[in-house]
Order: sequence, then structure tokens, then C-alpha cells
Amino acid sequence: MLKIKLQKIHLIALLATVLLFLSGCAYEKVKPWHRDVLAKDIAQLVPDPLENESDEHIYFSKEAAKGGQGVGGGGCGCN
Amino acid sequence: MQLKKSHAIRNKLALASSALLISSPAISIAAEKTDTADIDNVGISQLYYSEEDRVTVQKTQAIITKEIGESDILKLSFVYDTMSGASPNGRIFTDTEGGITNTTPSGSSSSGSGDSSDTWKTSFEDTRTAFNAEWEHKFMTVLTGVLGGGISKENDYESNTFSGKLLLDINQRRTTLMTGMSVAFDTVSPFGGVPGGATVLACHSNAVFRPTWFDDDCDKTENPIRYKPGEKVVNDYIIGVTQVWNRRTLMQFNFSFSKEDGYLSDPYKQVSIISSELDGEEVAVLHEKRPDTRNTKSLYYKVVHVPTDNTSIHFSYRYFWDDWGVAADTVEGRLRINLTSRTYLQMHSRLHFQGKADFFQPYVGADEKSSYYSSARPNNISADSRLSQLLTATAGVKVGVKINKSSHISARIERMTQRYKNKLLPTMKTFISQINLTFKF
Repeated sequence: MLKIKLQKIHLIALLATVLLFLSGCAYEKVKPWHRDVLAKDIAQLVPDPLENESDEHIYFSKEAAKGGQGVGGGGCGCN
Repeated sequence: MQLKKSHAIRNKLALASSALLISSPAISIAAEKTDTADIDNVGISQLYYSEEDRVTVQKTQAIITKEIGESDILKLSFVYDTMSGASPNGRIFTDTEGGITNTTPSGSSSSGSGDSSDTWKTSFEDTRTAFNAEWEHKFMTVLTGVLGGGISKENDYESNTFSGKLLLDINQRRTTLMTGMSVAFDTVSPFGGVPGGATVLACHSNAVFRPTWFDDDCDKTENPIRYKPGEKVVNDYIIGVTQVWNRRTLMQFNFSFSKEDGYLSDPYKQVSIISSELDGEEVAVLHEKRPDTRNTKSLYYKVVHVPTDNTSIHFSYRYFWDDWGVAADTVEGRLRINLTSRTYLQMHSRLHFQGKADFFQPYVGADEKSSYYSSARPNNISADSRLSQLLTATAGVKVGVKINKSSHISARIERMTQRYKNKLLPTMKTFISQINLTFKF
């Protein structure tokens, strides 16, 4: 029962985070030719794949949680 | 020239709005290109990872991305890790015999060195070699498919992964829908085979009080029961949506779930049996045992906001939960500032808080008052700190320099600490440094 309550709290927190951000950023129907800013290096979802791969490996090895960004293999012995 | 530039920008726009398919650590099947050059580039990286008094890792990595024709992209990645040091094995600090013989990832027999202060960790050396390949094909303007495969090999561990995903652009390419899946076949092969779950590894001579089911096991510690290599299958699934929210904001929302079946224990992790009658001394040591299935789920939200042309903010939140009782919140942020047209500075911070697994126990009581004294062998038990309640905090800084139009170098340093609610374990303090070089060919 406690776990279910905790999960609800987490989901609400996630929703609140999303809404908080959305409330500060108005939605626009951005035309393809207006996406120059988002095409820059600075705006990439994964700014550095080399660094991202390393971080994913480190945290997978040291924590019980995994994934979120994508899917992948079982991985490593990870001592 | 103009056509080529347009093509590159089109690719970037597609990437900007496409969801990322990144694997768990060993397998990288990222569909996006590297950041400085769109395609036809090579990224080389050297990482140094050092835990205070524990593990040190040197990682060499390379990623090659090559466009083939107008609608195909091939991506190859290679990783070579060398690992050495000592890793927590689950046992508590103890004043009793430290030198328990145990197998290690390096294949040889080793132990806590005999020094009582080292009984909680096991020394090892290992290497990991991983190779991944990924083929991306654009079926039509708005539909992209990616197939990937990879292998990761250590002295005692092998993982083979196959993956695929589909990306569909809709809403004038402001929205990208993504679905993907992967299957991994993993084998762990410790020296002599994997130990029986929750069996006794060692009985100390001072074991005055101990559960009745210990006795048979204690008689077998000279010739412990071991089984074949442990095998498991991991199926991962993901669905996600990436949305161009406005001219300066991009966001992503993913739901992923995973099913693991097979040998999910860690053959090197142990659990101390202690006696309060002997002032908390360790009287025996068990091998850990985890359930043979695990179902995990996670919700992931990421937003990239570019408030000015020279500044960007990356923020992500992940909520993870599984049927082992683990629930975790992870918040991560990056602030990048372009100092000049060629250099940038990036700050990074991350917080991860997780609850413990239902079967996590820092130790087992061996006294008559303990429920373990005369009860049956525990179904599942682990003292692995990674399954305990913990908080990981990371902070770091990175500097990048564009050498010329086609090459870029960056370096970062980070500090990661991991604190446990179980005060028997000392805080893990880690230093991370990494240098990346990316260039076009």
C-alpha cells in the first residue's frame, strides 16, 4: 500500500515537473525553416555520445536503476 | 555546396526531433550522430575512473559514423576497458578471519587479503571489450528504421545484444514517435561455475550459534557446490515521443519496460552471518541469491532549452521502479555556455536516490532470537550495496574547444559520491576524467 502511494507521489512529481516547465514555455507550431536553433550542437538531445555512453555504463554499474533513454543489452559483469 | 549544407541541416533537424535509442552500458545503439559533425566522423575517447580505495577503470572508446548514400547511415563503436582494484562483496567489517577463498572476475582465487579491514571487498582484475554496429535506413521522408547488434566480452562475462527501432515523424516533423526493443543474451562464467544461491561459502571456527540448515553446508565448504555458467535473457522495450515545443525548446518523454529471466544473482556477492552473542562477529558467510525474474519500468522526461544562442539547458528526470521493490528518482542537469565561437564551458550535476530491494539485508543474525536461526534457507537475500537505499551525487565541469571546422576536443572532470543508508558501508568517492576528440573524415 505504501509503495503504491509512493509511486503515485512520484508520478505526480513527474507531472508537476513537466507542467511547471510547460507553463513557462509557450507552445509554437514551429515551421521546419525556423528550427535553426534546435539544429545547433548546443541543442542536441544527447550533446556528446561518447560521454553519454560512459555515463550510462558507470551508473548502470553502481545503481539498481537503469535505462530511460533507450533500450539495450544486459551489459556487463559490473563489479 | 548549398545542397550539401541543406542535407546536413535536414539531418540535424531530424535528429533534433528524433528520440534516442541508447542502450544500457555495454551496448550503445544510439541513433543520433555525434555533436560536432553530423556524419562521416570519428570520435575517440579516453576515460579514467577511480573510486577511492576501490575500483579503477581505464576506458578507451571509438565511434565511427558514416553516411552511405542518401538514406543509410552506418555506425560502429568499440570499447576497451581495463578494471582493477577491489569491489565491495557484501560482507561486513569484521575482526574474524579475513581470508576467505573466493573466485573473482579475473578467474583466480582470491579473497579479502586476510587483513580484517579488507574483508568487505574483493580484489580483482578484468578487461572488457565491446563492439557494436548499427544500421539506420530511411524508408521514406518520415519513417526511419534502425537495426543494431553488439557483443561485450569480459574474462567472466559475455553479452550479445540485438536491437531495432522505428521512428515516425508527424505533425510537420515537429513530433517524432518512437518504438524500439532489444534482446540480450548474457552469460556469467565465474571460475568453477556459479555458486548455489544462499549456500554457505565459509564457516568460521567461532560459529557457536548458527541456523540448523548451516551445518550441512558447512561440511561442504571444502568442496562447495557450483553449477554451470549463469545465463540470463534481458528483453527491453521502449515507446517515446519527442516534441519540438517551440523554436528554442525540445522535449522527450519515454516509457520503457524490461523483463529479465535467468541467473540474476551476482556470483561474487556475499552476506555475512553475525552473532550478537559474539559481539557482532561474523560466524559464517553466505552466497547471495536474487530472484530469477525481474520486471522493471521507467518514465523518462527530458527537456532541452536554448534561452540564448550561446546557452543551453538540459534537464532530465527519471522515475524507475521494479518488482524487486526498488524505486528510484534521478534528476540530471547540464548548463552549457559558449564562451567564444570556438570554446564552451559545461556544468553537469546529477542526483540519484533509490530505495532498497525487498531482499536486501546488510547481514543475517545467527542467534536463537533471529528468525533465521531455525528457519529454512532464505529464498532471496543480498547485501550488495547497489541494491540498498542510497544517494548518488555527481558534479562536474567540461571544457570544449573547436580546433577547426571539422574537429573538436573536450575534457571533463567530475566527482561522484555514493552514500548508503546502511552505515556499515563507507561512502564511495569517485573521480572521473575524460578526454574526447571528434573529427570528420
